[in-house]
Amino acid sequence: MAAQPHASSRSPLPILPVITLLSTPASTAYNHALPVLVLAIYYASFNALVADPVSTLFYLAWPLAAFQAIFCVLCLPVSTRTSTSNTTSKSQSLSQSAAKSITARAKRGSAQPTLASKLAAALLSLTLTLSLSLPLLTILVILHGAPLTTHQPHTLLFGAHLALLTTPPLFYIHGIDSTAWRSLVSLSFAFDTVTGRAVGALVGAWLGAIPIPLDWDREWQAWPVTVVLGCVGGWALGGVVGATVGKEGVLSWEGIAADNIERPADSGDGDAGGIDLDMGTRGQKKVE
Amino acid sequence: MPRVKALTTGSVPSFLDLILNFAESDTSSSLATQDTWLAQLRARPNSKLVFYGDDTWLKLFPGDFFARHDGTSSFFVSDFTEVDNNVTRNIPQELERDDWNVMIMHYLGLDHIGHKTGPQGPNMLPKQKEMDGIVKIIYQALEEHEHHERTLLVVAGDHGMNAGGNHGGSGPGETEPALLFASPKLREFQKKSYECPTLPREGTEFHFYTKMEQSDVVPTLAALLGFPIPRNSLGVCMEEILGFANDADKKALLRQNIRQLLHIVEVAVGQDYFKTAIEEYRSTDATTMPQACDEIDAWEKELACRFAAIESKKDAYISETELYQVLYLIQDNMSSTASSYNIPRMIVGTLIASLSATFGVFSLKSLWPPTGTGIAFVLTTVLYGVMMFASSYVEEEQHFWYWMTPIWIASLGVRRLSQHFKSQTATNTLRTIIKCIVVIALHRLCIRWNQTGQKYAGAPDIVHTVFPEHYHFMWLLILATYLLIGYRITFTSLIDIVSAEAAPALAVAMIVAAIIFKLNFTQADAPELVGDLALRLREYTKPWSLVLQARTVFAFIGSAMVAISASVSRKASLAKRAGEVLTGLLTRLPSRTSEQPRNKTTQAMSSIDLFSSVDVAALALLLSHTTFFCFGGSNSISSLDLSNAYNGVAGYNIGAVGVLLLASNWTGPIWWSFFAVSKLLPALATTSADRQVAAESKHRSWVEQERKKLHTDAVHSVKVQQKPQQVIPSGETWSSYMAALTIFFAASLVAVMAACTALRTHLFIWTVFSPKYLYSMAWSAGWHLLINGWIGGLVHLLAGRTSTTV
Repeated sequence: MAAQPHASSRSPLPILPVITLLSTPASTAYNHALPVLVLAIYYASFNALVADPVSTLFYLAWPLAAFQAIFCVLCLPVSTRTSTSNTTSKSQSLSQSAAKSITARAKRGSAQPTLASKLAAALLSLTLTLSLSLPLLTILVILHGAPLTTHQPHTLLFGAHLALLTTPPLFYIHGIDSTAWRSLVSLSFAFDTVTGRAVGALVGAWLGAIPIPLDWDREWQAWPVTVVLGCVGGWALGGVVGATVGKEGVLSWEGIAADNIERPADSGDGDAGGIDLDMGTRGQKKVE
Repeated sequence: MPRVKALTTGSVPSFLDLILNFAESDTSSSLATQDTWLAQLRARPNSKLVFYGDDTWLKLFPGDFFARHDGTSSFFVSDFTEVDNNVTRNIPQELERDDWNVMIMHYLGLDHIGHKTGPQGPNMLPKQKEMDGIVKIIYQALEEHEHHERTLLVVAGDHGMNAGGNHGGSGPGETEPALLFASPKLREFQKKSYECPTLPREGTEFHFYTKMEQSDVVPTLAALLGFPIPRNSLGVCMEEILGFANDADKKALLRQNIRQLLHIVEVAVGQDYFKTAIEEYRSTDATTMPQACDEIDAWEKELACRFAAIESKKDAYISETELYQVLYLIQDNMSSTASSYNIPRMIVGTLIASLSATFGVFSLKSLWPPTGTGIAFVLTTVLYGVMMFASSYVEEEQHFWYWMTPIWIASLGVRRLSQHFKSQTATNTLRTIIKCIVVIALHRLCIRWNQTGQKYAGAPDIVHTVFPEHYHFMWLLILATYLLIGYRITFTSLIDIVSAEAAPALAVAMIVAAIIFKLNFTQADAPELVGDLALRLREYTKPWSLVLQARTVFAFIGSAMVAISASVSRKASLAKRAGEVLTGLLTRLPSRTSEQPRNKTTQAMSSIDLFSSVDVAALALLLSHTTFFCFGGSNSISSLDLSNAYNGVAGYNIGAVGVLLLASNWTGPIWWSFFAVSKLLPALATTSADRQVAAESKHRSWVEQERKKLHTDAVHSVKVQQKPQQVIPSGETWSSYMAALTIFFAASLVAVMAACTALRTHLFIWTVFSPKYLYSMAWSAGWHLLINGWIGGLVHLLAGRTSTTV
């Protein structure tokens, strides 16, 4: 149900399947330890973060990057795109059937990826994170109201933390496969540990802004302390939620309704289901 | 005005005073018949009262209350010198005279400078030195003239200001003004010695000596000048000032103060109840052991206990502390309950609002399964409701909307993108992304248009930091805005009514009239924003008064609106455009000059793709609030902009001022309301005008045909440029839109009323929660009911009817 809610004739955007973490003991242990480790370093440096956010955020970014790289190497299945220069046609592999592509990848991956190639892939993911998602996320954060004329180092470093928490595993898995990233942007992906953490970090950062305007006059209400903490908290929580609740779920705007409604994909007369949804599809038809 | 009331009657300003503050000429707000210290002193034989300054006093004490007076209108706050010179020039001769016993001087310049430039403004320090000089002149006169040897000089600020120079909030800067009693006579006091601090006490901003309530001024004056304390005063006689009296007099004065306050208590809690309570304690051992009173919970009982104790004792056996205990017990409790709350009615009001929210829910067509939009909408409503209970979030409400809006626009973008991806129409992808980013970036810019709220009021922003320096740029934006409106009026509305030649001329006339008025008004209101711009034009138009100019513009708009609505019955397409004219001109004219360029960005933001009527409702709701706060609005009464509410109004006309007040302060929300209304109108595939041309042209001469062709070409050229709007199918859209908004506003009213009821003893009830309640009323009744419901509904009704007949 989750895999193909829109069985229409035109090839739909694939819903990215659940990313299954490697089942080695090291992987399992590290996956469980990671949130604890990350939360611990932030907890330990809370006072420093309040006193001197810029340098603390700068120094915290390094262990964070290391933790994420180790997570990629230890826990994630091998990506075909970053570790090998595989040039499979992306539209074919992902649009036909996401599941099939994964098995195909798994087969290719079974050619024993060395630790070195895994490490290279993880480092590449970090590089992509710093060069692509860091500027993009920083701009996004400023667009959502972060200070622009003051606090530039604060905002940039927060952007770095946000980027490091969200994207390295995604780059490790999907590389720069545009179809996969389109699916991610369209929120058509399965909710799992990796995506759960990414979504959790973004939502947590957004929620982290809530205490700032309150008149408690605490030092930690200053930018960007609460937002960083919200981001890390959301990241950890999102991972737990993703791993437990979301195994089968699909995060999608229509998903909530689409899973419940028995509706022919091409019906446009809107006699079934919520009006909002029908408006959406009808509007879409009009554009075509 | 409420502060003047506190300073003269000694009562605590009530909720009603806040509303009456705007209805200044309302006779019910007159203090002439009330018991004030002015009335007490005026009642003395041969007494004369003299007044110079803010003419609000003359409205509060009308007729021949003052023997001599010279009022100054405070309408334009850009006047820093005239208002004060008008007062100062009277001082020397009045000080020579000995025929008056009260002289009141109300200086306005400092307040104006505060409003205009904030506490750090360049004029602030010179003005304060000027005021110091005046205090010096008066005090020297008191020392020199024999007839002034018993004269008391009281220097009092009725309010302070926050970092932005505004007041009306609850910050210490706003509520802790200075108070000074000065007289050569005070030298004779047996007083404690005081240090003269030059820095405020640790941890405070304005606390130097002793803090007292504003109402305490009244009984203190009564004690010093020897008149009965005014009946409604809730003040407590200031301890320090009693230094002139001997011990017996002191206690007598305090007992007098207690008796006067007890009258108010008796009225509030019931005379019989109170008398029996006193009897009860008289018979117990409370009379001998005051400590027994400490353990009583209900303050009325505690008061009765303490009163019984002091009543039974002679002065010699009673300490001042005991008397002050009683006084402060009454003051603390009566100030918080000064207005008698009608709890049952408050609950009924809350229930009615909940009922209307329930109706709103049931009038939605479908409730289940929930959609993303629905969940987001409910979440917004719930969060907003919770927020109403946190005073700092009421003060800083703008952050909620600035926080919600970009994420909502981003979610619309993501939904649109996923549609593109799913249908594999990659061509639109980039456009959607750019559009989405541009819109959020504009929103980001708007956030800094005006710094509003309490905490950061006065921080640098575009309107107050950039525009005064680059006013040419500002006028360029204003001009561009007007040109755009002119263009749109010409080609979307007027061209359907009048001939193709006349339409641009008419539009130009409207725009020119509007710009000239705007220039002249700005010159009077904020001269620094005009500079040397269009000096000739302004001098040429000087003979015509601002009122006349405003009326000319309003007449233009009015006739255009009448013409359009008259032709609406013939042409369905017009109904849709009527909204644009209304939007374009009506809202733009009264808005603050500096906010106008912002309207342009608002227009750009409206190019967002929408999906459903609840989406439209959510977007209209979010952007209405965002623009309201961006334009400088807040939940504090002080941020209401009154200057534009009197455009074209000569006297005080509550209806006209009310409408203009709504239009000038809710400009952005009204624009978004019309945007939503026009989005929700039924689809018009081909305009009826085109069909008419096709039908009629057969019977016309070639000249007319040619003209009509030009006309349609012109219309087409505009319409083709306009993006093919994604029009939502008609049907239930309008009612779901209204239902969704009704749910929000009814729910927010419930929350605000519940917050006001639950927190009615809160410290900030008058400064934070009650103003929020007034704003909620304006939002619900003014914006939602009047603009959305009536005007929007009317447009929708007309369009719906005509589209079926065409």
